[in-house]
Amino acid sequence: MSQVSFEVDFECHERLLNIPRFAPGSTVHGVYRLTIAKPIRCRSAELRFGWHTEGKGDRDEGIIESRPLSPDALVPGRTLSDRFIFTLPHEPWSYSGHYISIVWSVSVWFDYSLRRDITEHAPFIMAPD
Amino acid sequence: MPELVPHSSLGNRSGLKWLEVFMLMRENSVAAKAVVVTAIIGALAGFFFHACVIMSSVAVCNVPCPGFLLFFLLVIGGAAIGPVIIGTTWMNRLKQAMDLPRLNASAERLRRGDTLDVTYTHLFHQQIEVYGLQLTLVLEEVATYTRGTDTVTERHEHVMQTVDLPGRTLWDGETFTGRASFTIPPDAMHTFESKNNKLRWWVKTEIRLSKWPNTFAESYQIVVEAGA
Repeated sequence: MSQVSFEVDFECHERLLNIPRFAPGSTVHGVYRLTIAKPIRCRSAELRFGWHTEGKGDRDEGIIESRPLSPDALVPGRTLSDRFIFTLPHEPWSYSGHYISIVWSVSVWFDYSLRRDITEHAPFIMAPD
Repeated sequence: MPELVPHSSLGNRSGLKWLEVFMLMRENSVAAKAVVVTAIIGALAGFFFHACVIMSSVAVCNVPCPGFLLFFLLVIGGAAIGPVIIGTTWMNRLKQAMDLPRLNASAERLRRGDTLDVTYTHLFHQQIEVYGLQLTLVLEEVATYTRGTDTVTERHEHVMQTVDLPGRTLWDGETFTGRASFTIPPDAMHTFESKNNKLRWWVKTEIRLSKWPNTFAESYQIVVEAGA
């Protein structure tokens, strides 16, 4: 069983392959829900808005905005929920290629000192019409 | 129309003439492999020469061995001489046959849906038949990853559009000219560069000839902007 459940409801009228799509430079509104299933003993936690690469190459990422989450609030059985709003830059667009993919997402990130960090993503597409 | 910078001339801009030669050779001929082979042969020759000197001097004349400085000079010198000779010979022969091609473009920076007009010019110093010229619009993915202590870079090309132009017979001193138009696809991805992942757009040219070097290829980078 995963330690957390992370869901995002994007306020979005347009979907591509059932994934919310936003235009470059537009504002992204939504609500996130973070449910803690098991105790989390991390150094810090953060809500992040940005992009990262996936595929053959080592991971690159760009964080547009981040919002700290208090580790004390990460209590098992508790659900953290809040609205968010951030403005997208004009690039990079979402991309899926042969070796490289560029993925935009709202994500929650837990920083552990003695184990691998945990990240949960809610992807969306950033692309022009 | 601005002239696009050929990929091989990046070496020239760095001030390292030999880097330009190597990049031209790598793009165009198996001579680049010959450079590597001769470098290895030269290094081995330097090593064995030094080994023989040591053995003969100790066995016959009891002369003190040459120092490690001489050893490295022989190995490195042997490794360098071969590539320098091959590179110089190749470049001189190429310049006797022709100038390097030039590609002029209607713009260096474009957006989706834009038209890119290019003019290819190539001056030859000998009578030659051009069999044809191919121009290709390419989106290249470049992915770099670390495997242990090694850094590996892999590339994949998406060919967007190809234009094949007919050739003709040229006399000594004549210039071959070819024109083509490309359309940046309406759903094209923009140019992207990050530390380990890159998306680059190129116009690639390849001319086929009746005489050495038989084919000559070059790449010219363009930028597809995301736009506001």
